Amino acid sequence: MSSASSEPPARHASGRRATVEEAIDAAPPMPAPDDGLSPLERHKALEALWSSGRGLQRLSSVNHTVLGIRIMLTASVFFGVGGLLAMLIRAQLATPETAFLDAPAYAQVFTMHGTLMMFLFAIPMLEGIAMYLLPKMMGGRDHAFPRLAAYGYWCYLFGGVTLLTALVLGLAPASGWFMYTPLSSDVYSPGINSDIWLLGITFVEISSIAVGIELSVTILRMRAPGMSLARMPIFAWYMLITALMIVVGFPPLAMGSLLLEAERAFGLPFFDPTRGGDPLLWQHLFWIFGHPEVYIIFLPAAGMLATLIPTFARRPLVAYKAVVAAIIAMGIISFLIWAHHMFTVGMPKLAVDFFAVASSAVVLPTAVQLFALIATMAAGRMIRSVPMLYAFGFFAVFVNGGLTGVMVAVAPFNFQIHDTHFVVAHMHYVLFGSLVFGALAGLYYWLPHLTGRLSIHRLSIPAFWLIFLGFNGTFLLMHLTGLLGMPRRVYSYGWDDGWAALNLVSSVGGFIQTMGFGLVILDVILTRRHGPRFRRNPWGAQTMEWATATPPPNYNFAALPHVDRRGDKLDPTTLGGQLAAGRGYLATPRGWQETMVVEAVSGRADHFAILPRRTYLPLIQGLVTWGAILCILLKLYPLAAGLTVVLAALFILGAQGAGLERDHGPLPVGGGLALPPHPEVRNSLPVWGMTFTLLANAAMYGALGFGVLYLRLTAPNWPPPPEAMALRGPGVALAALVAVGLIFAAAAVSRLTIRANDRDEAKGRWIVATALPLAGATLLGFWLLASGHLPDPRAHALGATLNGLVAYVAVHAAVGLAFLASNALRSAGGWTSPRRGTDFLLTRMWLDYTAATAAISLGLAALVV
Amino acid sequence: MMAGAALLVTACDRPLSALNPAGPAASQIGHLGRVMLASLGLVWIGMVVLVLAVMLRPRAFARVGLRTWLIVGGLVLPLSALVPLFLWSVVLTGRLMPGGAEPTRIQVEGAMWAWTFTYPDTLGALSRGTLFLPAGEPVVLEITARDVIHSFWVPRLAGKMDAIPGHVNELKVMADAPGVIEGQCSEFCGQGHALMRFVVDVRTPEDHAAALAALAEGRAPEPAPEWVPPRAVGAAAPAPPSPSSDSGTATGGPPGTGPQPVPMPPAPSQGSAAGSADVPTTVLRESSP
Repeated sequence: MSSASSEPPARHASGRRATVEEAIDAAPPMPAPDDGLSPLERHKALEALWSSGRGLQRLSSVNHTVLGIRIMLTASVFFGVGGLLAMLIRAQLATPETAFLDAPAYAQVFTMHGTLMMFLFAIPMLEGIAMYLLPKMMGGRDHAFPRLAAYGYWCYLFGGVTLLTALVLGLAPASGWFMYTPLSSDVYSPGINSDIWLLGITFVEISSIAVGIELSVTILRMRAPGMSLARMPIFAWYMLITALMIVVGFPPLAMGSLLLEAERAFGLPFFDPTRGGDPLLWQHLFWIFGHPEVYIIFLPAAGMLATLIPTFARRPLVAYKAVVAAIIAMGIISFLIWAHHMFTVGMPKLAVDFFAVASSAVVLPTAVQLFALIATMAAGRMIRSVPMLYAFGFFAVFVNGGLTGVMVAVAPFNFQIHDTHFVVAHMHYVLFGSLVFGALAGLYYWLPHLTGRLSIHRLSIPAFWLIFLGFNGTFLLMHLTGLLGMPRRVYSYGWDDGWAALNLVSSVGGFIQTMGFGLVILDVILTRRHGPRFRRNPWGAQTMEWATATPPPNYNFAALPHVDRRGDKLDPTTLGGQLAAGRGYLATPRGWQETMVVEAVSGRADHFAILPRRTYLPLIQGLVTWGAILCILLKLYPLAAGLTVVLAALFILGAQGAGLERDHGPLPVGGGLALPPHPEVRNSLPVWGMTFTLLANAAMYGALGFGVLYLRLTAPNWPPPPEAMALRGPGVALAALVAVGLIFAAAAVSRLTIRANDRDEAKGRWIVATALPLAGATLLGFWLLASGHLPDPRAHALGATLNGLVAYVAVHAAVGLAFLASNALRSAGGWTSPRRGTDFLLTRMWLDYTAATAAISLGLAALVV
Repeated sequence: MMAGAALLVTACDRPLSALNPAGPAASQIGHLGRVMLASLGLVWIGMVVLVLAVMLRPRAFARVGLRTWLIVGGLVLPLSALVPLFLWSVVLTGRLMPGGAEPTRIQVEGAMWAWTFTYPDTLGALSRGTLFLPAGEPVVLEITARDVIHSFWVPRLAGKMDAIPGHVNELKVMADAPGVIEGQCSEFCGQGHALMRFVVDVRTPEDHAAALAALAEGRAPEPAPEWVPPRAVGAAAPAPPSPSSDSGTATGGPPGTGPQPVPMPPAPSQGSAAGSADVPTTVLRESSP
């Protein structure tokens, strides 16, 4: 029953301690299907099914290869713009008293440099890489929610375009990429600049979170049968933890941005210390996101190296389990140490000590990962190559950043160098070392996969040395610049400050680096044009992405393999031929875009998913979302509300064609197996997607709850003056209580819909019976907000937080109504049946979540009033 | 690295250098910093050499077992560096924080883009742009901000402390000897951030008391005998009260002689009570009773 990988050659090179799994019997490959298709006919049939369209039709593509490349290219453009801004910074700082940029222009430039690099380059780039590689590495045909990913891409693009437009118009945000308030508040940053950051970045974050959800579900459920968690290629582990960190880590910043925007636009004083807010709340929310962000950037880069180093060491990664444990440990620790960015805000000694020591703990899992790579190289027979050159750059640069990271985590030293150029140097060593050198190593490793052509390598070596030496020239001595007292974000300095020579060296280094990147671009273009073609697997890699044709077809594999060993110990050369011949699962096209779904842990085949065709809907949804955000920016709130309703309608519409119109029961998938299609199982991808969506949502709500309690417990000017506390009008508490009760009722009735569906009874009345209390709760919620019966949200943070909690629950109840509308439409259209009941499950999950947050909100409100 | 070491040696007389301590806090942190830079710098070089060696000559390492790599590299090496460092960190953090035994307190307020200092021990004493400190006495600064977040930093005295509206943060400082020391804002606070500098005027306790008395009476204090004019950092009004211009190059104090102003945009005035549109500089502001 199992197939695929015969023993790859040259595996026992070192002759000792060959891992046990390698000795697993290579079972015979799966039989070819008896559909009589030749490989070419199969290719044509599948390509027709999975087509991404030609020319402008490609805008409708939802394919992971197309989207992955698109995201990577877009991120590269933003990297270029961010790099250009860095050149402006270095030009300005090259000499003292330069009259090139004035203070306001400089503020926009450094703010946009950080913002572009962090939000529009780093995160999207690694998500694009993961999106391109993961399904291929894990033996799937596409990712879990193609339309969501396409929507995410458009959100990213439009958000980025908004920010770039602002930059061109001179309206770019200017309060730093960290947007510390009160500087970013409406008082000290009037004008649209900060709004552009808050809304634009939130827009881009929607996309990052959407892709994070998508990657999580894809990794957990869409592997080749037989690939248990313990057999995943190491890159999948790296990306799984990264994706989960994105899902949990980004929402707090999104919530923080919403609160700050609410303060700027409507005067809700969440961060205003004169009215019971606290600027430190912003810093906490920002760094609860911002610290894990560093590891979100490091992990995928390390994952790429852990994939390509074994290829060149001619030996699978050693200490796989220790590395997996280290990745997980790193993911957890990274959420516990955010406050080491805040050592100088006046924390108590105990907190300083805790965060200092906890920060040092992260060194251990980092060291385990690095030494596992070193041990892999030491145990193998290294082959010199361009990717390995860049891998060396990664080690040299990142290790330096890690060591200065230890210094920065030592609190007393931090008191001195915090917010100086020492930190600028440190963080560039960490981020550039991991992401840029990691991605460049990955670029030269996977470029043949993307283009179907081998690199020529003539330019890549001088490019490396220019980048490597230029980088160190820019940043190595910058540590000293910081120790000599040069603070961050100053647009000018004096001749006798003693920083002139060092800054000149940094600027020269910066321009050398830029030349290196120019060569890389040229090299990629030349490779694409003139690189020699190759047959398959040019590096002799052992992961499955090399089993596709190159460049890969839209469907990846003509048949899906059964994996009987670790996913980085395969033989893609043999495997590729077998799969192209249809020897595997789902080889026979049946008119659907099919791929296998497995049980998360065991990797046992569970069912097969039918993925959506290409569609313009995500593009339209993205445009409408963009319109709504622009309306908020221009303070056209009624229009924004209208567009939001249109957007909700578009999402309901988008759900219409999903799934199947009738029951099919288990269908043959090859290998003698018959499995149901995804609409007919309970443990399906949409349910997992909803789980992770609610997880992200809970992280967002957690940030809100944290804010409410934080302000109540630590902010200045509490308790509020009595007039700011009054619940105006009788029965406000009663109304809130009733609303929460109604939501619970709706959640309870939604179970009766599921029961009715299971018994094949009429569901319409139960849907209505769910909608009525929910509509009542929604109305009560919005009435509470609009009627002014709650404490005045502008007078004091107490009122602001109470209104915030009510708004959160009311919006969720309203979204619940949209779920019910979709349920009603789809039931009436025959898209549900006792076997196809996912819709009602999703509604129940959403309503349960809403009920839980409503109850918690009520408790929080009672606590703070 | 070599160049870095060379510069490190020459770096000590820079006016804002954390490596040029003028007080015990900066001195202790500087010591810690040097030890870390030296030891972790060596670790870095060792790691780079190791990676290069493994990449180029993997056979030389074929005898090193997997367990050795992971235990030595992933556990022993990091812990042997981290444990002492963080013990040092915890102890030193405790020493740097105010212990309650410091009698003198001075209130520091940052506002766009200047610093105001008030001296509760001397009724009515207030200075702007210059902090008066007694030499050899520990002082607790009570730091806050009027508008946005600033950060109070005198690198030669101690680490920085953020000035946050709505919060009062305490920072313990002590200057070893009379003289003039420079300070600056180190949290981005808008257009004037780069120019939000100030000086610390350290005098003997007697001269210090006299200076505060003068401030309380609304007079500019006489320059102390060891007074060296600070460098002009801001543009418009750099002149200190009444320095004799020839004292500039006299001592090994702050380098730089004449004013070499940085061009700066007109600083939007933030409508403060004490001083109106004056730029962040080293100007003394007389108190208004």
